[in-house]
Amino acid sequence: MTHSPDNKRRQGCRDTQALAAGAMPLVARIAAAIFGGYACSAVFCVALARLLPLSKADSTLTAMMSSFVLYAVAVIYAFGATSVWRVWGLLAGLPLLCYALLQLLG
Amino acid sequence: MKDSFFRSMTWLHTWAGLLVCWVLLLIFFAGSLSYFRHETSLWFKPELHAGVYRDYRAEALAPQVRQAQDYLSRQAPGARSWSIEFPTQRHPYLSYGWQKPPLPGQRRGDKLELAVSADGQRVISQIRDSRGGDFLYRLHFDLHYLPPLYARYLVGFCTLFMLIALVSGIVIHKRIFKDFFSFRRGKGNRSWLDVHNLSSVLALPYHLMITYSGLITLMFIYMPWAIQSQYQGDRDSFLRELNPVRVQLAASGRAAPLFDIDKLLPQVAAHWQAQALDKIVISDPGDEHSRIKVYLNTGRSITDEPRVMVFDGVSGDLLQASPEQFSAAMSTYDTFMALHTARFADPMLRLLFFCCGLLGYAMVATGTLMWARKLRQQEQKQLAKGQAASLGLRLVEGLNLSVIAGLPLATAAFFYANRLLPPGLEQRAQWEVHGFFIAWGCVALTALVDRSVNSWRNWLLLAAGLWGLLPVLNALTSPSDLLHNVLSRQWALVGVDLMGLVFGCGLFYAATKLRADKAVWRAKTPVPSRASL
Repeated sequence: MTHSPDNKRRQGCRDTQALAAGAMPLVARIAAAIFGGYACSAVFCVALARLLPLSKADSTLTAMMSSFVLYAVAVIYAFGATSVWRVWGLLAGLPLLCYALLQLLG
Repeated sequence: MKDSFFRSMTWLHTWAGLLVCWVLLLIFFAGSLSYFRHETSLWFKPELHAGVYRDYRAEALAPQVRQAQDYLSRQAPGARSWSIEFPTQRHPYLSYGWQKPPLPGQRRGDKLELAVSADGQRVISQIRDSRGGDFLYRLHFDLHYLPPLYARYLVGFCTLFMLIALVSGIVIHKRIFKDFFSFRRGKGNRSWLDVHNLSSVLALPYHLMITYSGLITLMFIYMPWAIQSQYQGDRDSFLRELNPVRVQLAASGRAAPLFDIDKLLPQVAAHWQAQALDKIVISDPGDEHSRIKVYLNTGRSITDEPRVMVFDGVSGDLLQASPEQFSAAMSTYDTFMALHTARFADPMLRLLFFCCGLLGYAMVATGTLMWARKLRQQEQKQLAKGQAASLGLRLVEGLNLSVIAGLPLATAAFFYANRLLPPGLEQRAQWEVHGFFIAWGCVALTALVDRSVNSWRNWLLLAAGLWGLLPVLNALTSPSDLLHNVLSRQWALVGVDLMGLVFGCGLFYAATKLRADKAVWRAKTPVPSRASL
């Protein structure tokens, strides 16, 4: 919030240009944030419920309550990271990897 | 994405907030009013304002329960469930109720609730049908006219966006402490930003808590995957394991006489050391699988999970009682739920929650108003040449007017519909709700053509007038008025009237402030007649 109004206007123009030039990476990020983020937190939730050393009901409840933290972190990461490839790699790769591990554990 | 993390987060904050802001406004407004759900419901039934049985007396419980069982078995033999609710602080009357079996196409059957007269002898059955506070409560997560499940997904999506907007907002707010003490008046966008920062930071712990706990209240819908894998999707067995008293048993269809409920009371009193009771609910009365559930009045303890004793409805045997202590995970969950609903809070704390909720409303409203102003400034040159505003600008300004000014007006209309609709109207409760949406629709329709400061002021003034006159409406259409309610210590009714007065003053103040704002616009822009917020 330290920009002067002039700066802000210039930044506004640049934002619009950037948007027009790079709509695809943006769409990719949004998709990664919403779907990848959800997949991450869903798999995290299942894994945590399986692995926590608590009773079945308690670990399930704890896992469900904490899953939204991961979702929020994943969304922030999706828009904060520099490379859109890395975003997709992590937010799609991590759930797949975890899912494979869970399947192996049975 | 942008050239710095800070810029990316600014972009994220703007868009995450703006895309869902109008739904968030509805959730914040209806949710805040839901803190006074029971008080509002009571206000909506003037038949209960005088002449009802109001005191909780432990020694009178047995005859009351006997009388209730007698009455209900005569009046509602085939009901899905019966309930006997004792007077509590937020439900200040003794009542008998029952739920009818669902009609075709209904998810749940209609509920009826009758109050007992002050002498304890008569049942007051002439009580108007009204949803009162329950409508506003449902509205904040089920919306209306929408299938509840879809609505809850939509609300959950918006809540997640709210969480993202909060987190990114904290990241980009570099001078969180210094800005907290600065408010620059009459400086256009700068002032709006200051109000936005102030309303966000002042109630930040509340905003984070209410958003996250909001996700948790409906997480069984949003994140069912752990139940899916751990319990093969059997949610009931999961819930039963968490808290055994949640067992729901389907009716057997074989008739069996109901146990005399009053004979259970000594056992209940011994179990809970004679603490006050909240209610008794009898499921499937007269069926072999009938259950009698006795609820403790948990009052101010920070818990949302009801404390219950479950008895067999035929033999009267104690089947289950709520555990005295829950596991750490369950207590955490319970505390989140309690914080979200504030059911534990005494009136003052609930008022604080209510104010924080309204600050949330102000936070979202100032955010979207700033957006509209920025859009208008961007298009200032085109507008000055007499060109029409872009679709985006018209949409944002129109939605702002219809939601920010429309919601208080629609809610006032809901209160007035409750008192002014003819008593014998078919589906009266439903028409009160229609009244809410008709009034809201009127604001939205005018917003299509006129989004000027004048239009804002007119709607705000109308809403201010309606809210301000609420105590007068109450005095004219209920057995008592503000003064007598103070004297007879009916604080719930006094509270609703006072809320009306405060809303009225607030909206009037906002309407007069608009005039000043318009002068600023006139000095700066060459087209004052089209000036807008």
